Amino acid sequence: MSDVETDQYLVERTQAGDKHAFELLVTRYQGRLSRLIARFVRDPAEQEEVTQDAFIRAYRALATFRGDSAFYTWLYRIAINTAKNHLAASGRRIPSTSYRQQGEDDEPVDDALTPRDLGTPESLLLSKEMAETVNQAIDSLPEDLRTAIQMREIEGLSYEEIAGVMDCPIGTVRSRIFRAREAIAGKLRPLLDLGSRQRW
Amino acid sequence: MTDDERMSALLDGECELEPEVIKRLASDPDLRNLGRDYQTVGDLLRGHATPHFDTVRFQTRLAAEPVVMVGRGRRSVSLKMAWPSWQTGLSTVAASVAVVLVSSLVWPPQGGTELNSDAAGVAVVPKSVVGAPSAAAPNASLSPGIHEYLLAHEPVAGSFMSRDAGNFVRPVADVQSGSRLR
Repeated sequence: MSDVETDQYLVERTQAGDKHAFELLVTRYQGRLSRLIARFVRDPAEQEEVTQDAFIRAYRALATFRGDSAFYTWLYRIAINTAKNHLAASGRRIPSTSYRQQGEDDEPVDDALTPRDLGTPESLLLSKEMAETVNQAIDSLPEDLRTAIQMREIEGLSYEEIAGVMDCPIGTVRSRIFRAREAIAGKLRPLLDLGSRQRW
Repeated sequence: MTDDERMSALLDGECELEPEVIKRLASDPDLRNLGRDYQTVGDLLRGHATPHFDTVRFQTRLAAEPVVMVGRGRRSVSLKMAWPSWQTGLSTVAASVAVVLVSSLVWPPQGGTELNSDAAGVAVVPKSVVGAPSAAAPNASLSPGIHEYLLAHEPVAGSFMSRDAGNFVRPVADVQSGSRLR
C-alpha cells in the first residue's frame, strides 16, 4: 500500500464513520502541519491551537473530500486558511517572510522549519541537544540499519526502492527501518519527554 | 510483525491496513506516542523542528465531533445524478404509451381480422400463420430456452410477453438458416 493509498484508505474509513482512522491521519501529518502553521503563527501555544483547529476543520469537511487531489494537498489548503483566519480574527497580518505567495491550487511547498524558527532560547537549546543525540545514535547504528533509515528519512526512498538498492526483501527493509527508529528514539526519549513537558 | 513495527511502516505509508489494525494503532496511547517519537526522529534527521502537539487534547476534541458518515449519501447522490426522478416518471409514461400503441396495432378491437401490413405501416405477422398463441401450449417453433425465458419474465412483462411475444421471436436456428417470417 503506497503513501497515497494509505491516506485514501484512511480517508474512506473516516468517511465510513471510523474516527480512529482520522487519528492515524493526524499522527501521520501533525508534524508537517504544525511546521506549516508555525510559519504563520509564531507563538507556540497559538501554533498548537491553530494546528488542532485545522485538523478539526478537516475532519468536519471530510464529507466533501472526493480524492481529486492528494489528501495532504487538501489538508494543506485547510491549514493555510485556518492560519489566515486566525491572524485575521486577531487583527494581524500574514507574515510575508513566512509564506511564499501561493495560489489556492498550488501544491504544498516543503514546510521545513528549522529549530531556529521556533524561537525561544529553551527550545533552541533542547533542539541542539536532540540533534546531537540523534547524530550520536545514528553513528552507533549497524551499517545496514543506518543505511536503511537514512535512505528513508533523508532521501525519501520507498521501501521497494531501498530493497532494490540494498538487495534484500521489502520485509527486511521494514524491519531495519523500525529497528533503527527504535534505537534512535530510545536514546532520544528522555529529551522527548522533557520536550513534551516544556512547550516548544 | 509487531504493532510497533506496523506503526513505523504506517508513517511511511508502507503498512497493509485492516480495520482491526487501524483500531489498535489509533486507540493505544503508547502506540500513538511511539508514532510521535518516530516522526520526531525523522524530523531531526532532516534537520526540522517538531512543534508541540497535544494528542490527548486533540482526541478529546475529536470525540466531541459528530461522526462523519458519507458512504450512503454519496451513493445516493450519484444515483440521482445518473437517473433523476423526473426522468423516471417520463420514461414510465413513455413506456406505457408505447405498450398501448403496439397493443392496439397488433390486436385491433375487431378480433382475428388479418391486418394489411402495408396499410398499417408495421410488419405484423397474422395469427393464422403462426397459430393461436397460448401460455399452456407454446409456439412449437420456439426453442424451450426461449419459452422458459418468456415464462420467467411473465410476472414483469405481463401476459403479453409469454403468450404473444412468441409470434415475434424466432429461434436462433431459424435465423442462422435464413428463414424469414412469412
